Amino acid sequence: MEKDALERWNVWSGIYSKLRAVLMLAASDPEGTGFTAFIQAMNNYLVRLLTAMRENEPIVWFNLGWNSEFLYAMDITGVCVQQMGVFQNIAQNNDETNALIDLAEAHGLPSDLCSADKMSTGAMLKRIYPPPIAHVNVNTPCDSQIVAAQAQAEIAPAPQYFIDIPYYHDDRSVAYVADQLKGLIPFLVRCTGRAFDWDRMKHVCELSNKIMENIWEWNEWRKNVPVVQASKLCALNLIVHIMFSGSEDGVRFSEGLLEEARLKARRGDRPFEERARAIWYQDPVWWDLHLYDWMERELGLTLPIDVFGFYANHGLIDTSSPEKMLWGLANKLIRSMPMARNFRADADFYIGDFMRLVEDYQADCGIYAGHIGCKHGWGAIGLLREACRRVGLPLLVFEFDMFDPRIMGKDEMKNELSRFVNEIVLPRKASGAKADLRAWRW
Amino acid sequence: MTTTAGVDIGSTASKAVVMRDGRVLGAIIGPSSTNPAKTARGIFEQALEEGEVAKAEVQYIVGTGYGRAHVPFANENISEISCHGRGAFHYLPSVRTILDIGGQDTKAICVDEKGGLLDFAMNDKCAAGTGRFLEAIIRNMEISLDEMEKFHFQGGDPCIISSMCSVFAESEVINLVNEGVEISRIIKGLHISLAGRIATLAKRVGVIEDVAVTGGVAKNRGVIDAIEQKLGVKVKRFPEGVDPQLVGAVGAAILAADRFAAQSRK
Repeated sequence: MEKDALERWNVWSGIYSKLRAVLMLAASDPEGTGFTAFIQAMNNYLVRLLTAMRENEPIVWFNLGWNSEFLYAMDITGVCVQQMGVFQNIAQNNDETNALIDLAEAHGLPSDLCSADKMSTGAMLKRIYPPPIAHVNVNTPCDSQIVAAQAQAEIAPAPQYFIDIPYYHDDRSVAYVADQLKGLIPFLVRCTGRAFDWDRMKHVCELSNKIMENIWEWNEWRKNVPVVQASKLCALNLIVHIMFSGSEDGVRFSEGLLEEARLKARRGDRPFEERARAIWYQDPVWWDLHLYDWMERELGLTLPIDVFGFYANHGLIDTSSPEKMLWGLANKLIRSMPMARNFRADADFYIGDFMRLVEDYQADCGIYAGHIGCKHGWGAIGLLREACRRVGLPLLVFEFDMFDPRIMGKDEMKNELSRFVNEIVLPRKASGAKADLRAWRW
Repeated sequence: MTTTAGVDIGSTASKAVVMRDGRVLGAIIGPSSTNPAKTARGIFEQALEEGEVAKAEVQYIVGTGYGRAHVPFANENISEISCHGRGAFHYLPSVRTILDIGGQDTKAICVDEKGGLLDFAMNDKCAAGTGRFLEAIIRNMEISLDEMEKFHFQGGDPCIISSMCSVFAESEVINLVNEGVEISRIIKGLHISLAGRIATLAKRVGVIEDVAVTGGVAKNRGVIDAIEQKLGVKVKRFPEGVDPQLVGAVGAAILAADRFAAQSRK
């Protein structure tokens, strides 16, 4: 094995070993089926990746937001270039994450770029990802992703297929994306040498539909007052769609989340008192998801949903014909996929989703956890703040980085959250003040 | 009849207010010390004396300010954000944005039409934009804080002084003094610099009128003038006889009355 390949193998097998340990720990809680299914799916993915590396199978790099259904339909192993952060953080390798971010910055990436993309570029520079046979990219949700996609092409040259995502969410936009997805099929066949079969794609889309149905039902269960499951599980929904859409692992993952919600809702017990509910309307704190446990325990603050957990219902993929499948996949990509859905179009769309979540999930406040690299989110902060003020809804705004604890540490974040909850949210709730959500539109 | 007290232990000054049914009976401002508990006791007793109220008559006491945890006789301590919000709303029900300029930090506080806190932002990591900024800088100019207002309105173009860092600003002021620049121009420049920081903070929460300014620095009409210029809004003045430096302690006393009423209902 060449030197790069050996080092790469060691990195991924090291992460696999750590995730095995996390899996054993997760499995010791028989009721925590959501988190266990997540770790199990991640483990299974690593086995596939290690096998593909060993067997020299074709590997396609892609960025988050795209439909992984194509990979499962063609039995291709994919590497979502932004996945490294989630793996490293779940394996508690924060120092590794920071080192990759620093490496990317040292190579000239601006420090205010999204850390997910800096980290992915760092991982590419360190040759951690196995060489790709092709790249598939979407130019959403942000400019940082495009920079990372350019880095992909430069650092690991291979044929690249770029899917252009339009600004709006209308049918014309869906058709435009569907047409590009159609063009993707011969590209993947040509690059990977794998066959494409519509019957196989139909099966994959059916699995994808099953996942969506599970997630929609799970979203419904999360509306329970009090919240029935840990707040930290919200963000995992994004991982389902990025890495496991159209797979059996994805079905099991979504079933795990759903079963746990059903069980806990039926029983109705919670280990702490829910004093306030918040919509976490930006990126999660990947570097320490235990922060949410602290929030629940110490502040009585829960997150029924966040921007990654919410999966908008725009219907299932119609599997009756190839054209309809492509349309359904495009529809899912631009109308439901977290981030791809939220960070495009005008600010009214972004704010409208937030207000809808506040209403549907009976939230007492909003938390704009301002990931510093997310300029798309920050671009709307003034309007979001104004809208919240207009309806009388408390909104906490702070700067942090979802993968880099050096920007804002846990203690400082706890301080912000405590002050917000104790000074504003709870006194308002005690006074009976209610937000008038109809008042936000200007 | 409800008699309550608010004790606000700030970084520079400590304040105590005794109220009965929404009316201030006694109010005292004194310097803070290295022993906040002793300071709190001293000013509280002075406020009682001024209001001719016996200690036993006070039914509920709220401590606030940086030293709020060291008011041993308080029934409860509440942060200065809530107290300034409540105190300002008590005097000015039309107020929606409150800028509290204290000795050690500055806060921008938003309240709704019922006086409930809606949002706030704090500058508690940097002296620029606080009363300490002015205090530190004028020591090179041999004038008192009270004189600053007079100089502000004496005319002349303001000097441009950095608003980013009080240490650098101090060096700039020393240079200006050595160059023989008129004091009034330097003072006006300082006020504009301070107001620039405060305006940035205020814009983080959104400036909705009416705007009021509380805290010791609010007594300096030169600073108020500079804030009005920076924000482009007219700052709402407190009614005659209300000291903006006491607003936090008044808010604490009002919240004490609320707490006492809630406790009595139980």
